[in-house]
Amino acid sequence: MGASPASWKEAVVIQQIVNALMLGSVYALIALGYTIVYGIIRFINFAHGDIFMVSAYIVFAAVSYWKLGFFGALVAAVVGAVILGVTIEKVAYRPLRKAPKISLLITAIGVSLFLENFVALPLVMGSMPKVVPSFIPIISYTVGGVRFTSAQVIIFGLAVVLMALLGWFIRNTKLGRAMRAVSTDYMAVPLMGLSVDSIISSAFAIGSGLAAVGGLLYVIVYPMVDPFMGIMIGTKAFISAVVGGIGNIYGAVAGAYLIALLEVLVVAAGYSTWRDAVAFGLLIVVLLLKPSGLFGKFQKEKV
Amino acid sequence: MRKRTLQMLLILLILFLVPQLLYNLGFISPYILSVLMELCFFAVSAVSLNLVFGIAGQFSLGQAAFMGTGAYVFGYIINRSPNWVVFVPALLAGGLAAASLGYLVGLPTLRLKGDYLGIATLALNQIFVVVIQNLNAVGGARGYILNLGQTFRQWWLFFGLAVISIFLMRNVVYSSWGRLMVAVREDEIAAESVGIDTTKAKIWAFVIGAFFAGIAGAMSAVYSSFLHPSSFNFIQSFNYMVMVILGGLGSLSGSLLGAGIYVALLEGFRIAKDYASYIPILGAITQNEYRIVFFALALILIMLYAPKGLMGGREFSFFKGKELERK
Repeated sequence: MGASPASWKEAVVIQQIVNALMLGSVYALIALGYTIVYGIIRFINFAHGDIFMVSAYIVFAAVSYWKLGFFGALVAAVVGAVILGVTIEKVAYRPLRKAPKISLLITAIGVSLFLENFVALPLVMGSMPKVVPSFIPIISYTVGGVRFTSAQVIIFGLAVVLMALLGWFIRNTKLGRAMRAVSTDYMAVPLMGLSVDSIISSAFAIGSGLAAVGGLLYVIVYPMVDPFMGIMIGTKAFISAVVGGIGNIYGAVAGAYLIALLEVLVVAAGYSTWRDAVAFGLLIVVLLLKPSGLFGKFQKEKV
Repeated sequence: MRKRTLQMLLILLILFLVPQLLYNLGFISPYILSVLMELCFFAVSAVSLNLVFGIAGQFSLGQAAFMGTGAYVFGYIINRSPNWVVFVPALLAGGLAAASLGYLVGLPTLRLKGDYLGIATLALNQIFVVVIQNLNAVGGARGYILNLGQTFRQWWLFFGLAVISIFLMRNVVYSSWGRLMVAVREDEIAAESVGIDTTKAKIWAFVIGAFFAGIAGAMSAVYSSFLHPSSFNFIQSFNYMVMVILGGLGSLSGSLLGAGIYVALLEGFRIAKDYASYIPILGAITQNEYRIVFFALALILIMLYAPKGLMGGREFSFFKGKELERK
């Protein structure tokens, strides 16, 4: 290319930032599901990462078995994930709404184990990773030494549009207002004549739908699915939500991009075996310095 | 000696002798005996987690890191010279190393409560795994082989260690320390306002719990003779949490039951498989791949129908202190 070393270095850094934006978009879409549900019922849905995994498998099935294109796979994954998320909430979580919170957490771990190992059954998908065939045309652009693909543009664009839509939805619609109301005062909402159950259901539906888009975007960049892929990605997305301030959707997005950037930089610096420690280390630092997260509100303890 | 103590000793002797004799006479296979050994260190770990979470109310998802510390320190020492002279110091070193980690974890995380504490301990657990993966002295990500053979893999050792550890932890719960921990669990602010040093109570809970988790880890090292970082990741911490919740939070004897059910669900399935293989449909769905699927379903059902665990915070009568009945 004939570029000078300085501008070459710059291009490498920008390339890493582009990579971080891809990874961050996936983390962010999953983190939103954690944060919406936690914001409303103060519950860490450990099975959320597995909803992401199931959506990735639906995309795989849509592309390689049913021969659907991008939009077909998108619709299939979102519909499948929403049905799955709402069903799980109804069957496994709703009966425990008045039970100790820890029982709910254990149930979520049970659901998570069930989904992973059910998908891994030989009659379902098998435990071996599967390669997802390419399903969108990839066109490469090079701008100033940095390589972009059309896939990356789609991923980042779709993620940003969805996050903006969600922000608008929470602020401006009736259902969004109802969700904020449940988050503020759980007991007062039924007194206003609203059904808490249906608000919680819709929170799970929105979270699952976003995770499904995350799953679709993930297999575009890393075209591989396996039954246990949701554990690490889900955990990191969850950490993003906590780092940003759980319950706050803008915080979740910021946390996701921050963690993705740090991870990509650690890998680029040659410490790839320490990659997984980055997110967890950042989490501990943030929790110790500002337990409510970067954008969380401090809650005073009342006696 | 009191009558109750004698009774207890007699029961323990029977619990020890029956599997040993059945094994020596060839009625049970080495496999069954090793499942019982596994049950011993699961029980120690579950009870120690219950001490931290159930009694002191500190939500910890880092149990596997404490066990891993115990296992790796014990393994590293015993691997120098695997004999009985080194065994006890190595075991204690494992426990103390885990206790030190418990202190280090306890100290900064005391600012955190509930879910946040759980998340922080989960994160520390995963950092522990990454550190071990990068520690070449103990094999890194490849795992660490212990050259122990069958020397220490004795039923009496597992049974004895489990009984001693659980007995000591029970005594902690019924001591004044235990009372302090319960006070912190019930209402931290109220405890503080009547002059209880809540920081000290919480740190001691972490240190004692981690010590016995380290012992349990060392037992697991003897059990498998092979240590791998992935055996100590946060998913394993979930397993111990599952045992504690199954038995009932705050009920130490319930944790024994929880560990028993956990082992019975997972291993019982393996045994049932051999018998079910003659029946067409049952044979097909009892293959190993289905094991965890059914385990997960059983876990969800138990939680739906007994959300407070099977013991719901009560203790079996044999386990209670004489002067005190905890609700």
